[in-house]
Amino acid sequence: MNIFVYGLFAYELTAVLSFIVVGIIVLTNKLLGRSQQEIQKES
Amino acid sequence: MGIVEQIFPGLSSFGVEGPVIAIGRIALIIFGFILAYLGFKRTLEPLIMVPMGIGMMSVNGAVLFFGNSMGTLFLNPLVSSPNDLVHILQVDFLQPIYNFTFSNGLIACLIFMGIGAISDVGFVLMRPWASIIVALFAEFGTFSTLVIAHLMGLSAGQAASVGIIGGADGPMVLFTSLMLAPKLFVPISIIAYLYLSLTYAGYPYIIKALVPKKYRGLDMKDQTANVSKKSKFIFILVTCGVLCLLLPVAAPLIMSFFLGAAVREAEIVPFQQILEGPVMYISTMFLGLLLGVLCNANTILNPQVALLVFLGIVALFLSGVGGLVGGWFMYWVSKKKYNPVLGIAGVSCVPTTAKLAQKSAAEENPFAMILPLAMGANVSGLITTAIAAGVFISTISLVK
Repeated sequence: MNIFVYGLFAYELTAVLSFIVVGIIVLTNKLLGRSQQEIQKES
Repeated sequence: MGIVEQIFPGLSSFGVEGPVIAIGRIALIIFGFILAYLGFKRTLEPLIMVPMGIGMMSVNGAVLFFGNSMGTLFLNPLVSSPNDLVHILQVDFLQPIYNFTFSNGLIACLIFMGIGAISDVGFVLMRPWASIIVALFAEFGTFSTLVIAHLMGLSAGQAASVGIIGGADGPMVLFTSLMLAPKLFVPISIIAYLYLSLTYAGYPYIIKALVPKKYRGLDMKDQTANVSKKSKFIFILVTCGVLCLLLPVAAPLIMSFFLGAAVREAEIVPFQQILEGPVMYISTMFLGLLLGVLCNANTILNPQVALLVFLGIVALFLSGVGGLVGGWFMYWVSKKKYNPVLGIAGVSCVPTTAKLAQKSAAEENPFAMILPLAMGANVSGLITTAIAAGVFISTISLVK
């Protein structure tokens, strides 16, 4: 693979994997939530 | 050999190795002195620079004659045969630490456990999309330097290793160069740590050049939110599992970081104290010392080092610029509610760039509080750099 094409491919793959991680973050937050009660209990 | 030479072999060895190596050794002794002194003055990061400078001075001074060859009593990184290794482990005092913690990446993992134990992943959970987008922009230096370095004659693995300097994460550079450029990992790591110490001095100029005064003081206090401990802990477990599944080659570093973070969120205080104190500081001290000791004239006087010095600064410069472009991108996407200075925090030099972002904002508006969001971008930068390193290690063989 040409270095330009590889650079672009690697950048895009990094972006896709990073977005998968963010998807997990958002999903985790939505599923488990952070109810007001919970936050109040912690504080 | 005269009596003086026998008593002081360090001195007489200067005349045996040839003028280039002799001048190189003297220059490195002086350079080591300067690094340690700048660490003492806090111009450079003292945690790395003081042990590195002392190691560099000592190893270039303490050259001995071993029969017909020359060497030191510190370590020999080039030993590969098992018999020679067993012998040298009993002679060179730093050889066990080099072989059992450095060359297999353990020391980088230990530092990552410590970084995990001091990082609050809750900052990522506040504005996850914004943080990761900014961090991805800040990886621009990594990928553009990969291409530039390869075009300038480095092999694909070496180009990827020097490119990852743009990710601005010392242990990650060490790990990637050990995997992809074992012959150049010493100069690449030294250059990376040296430049990372200089970001605090250099990045404010890039911020001032790319973000006009009136935008720097934009306050974002109202956009921060509390995140429950349960959310953070589940996030750590799931993200660690998924990233290890996707990037097995970077799994040691990923696991180490999330282990530290999990210990913190689970409030296992004895573990947390050990990781963020003794483990992280002992590892950092030996990392600095080993990097210094590996700086002998024969290793450093490599024609490729000048190229690496240039490419390292290109990588960090382009990442800083990329991060700030990301900050502007988020500023417009969020309808002018995102402080563009936060872009610099996407460069994952934890926590230096986050502090820089806060400092720049506070200079223009003393009431501006962007540090929590800057830390989110910082931790996201750590994650994207780990992913980029994993992508390089797994796929670099695709380059022809």
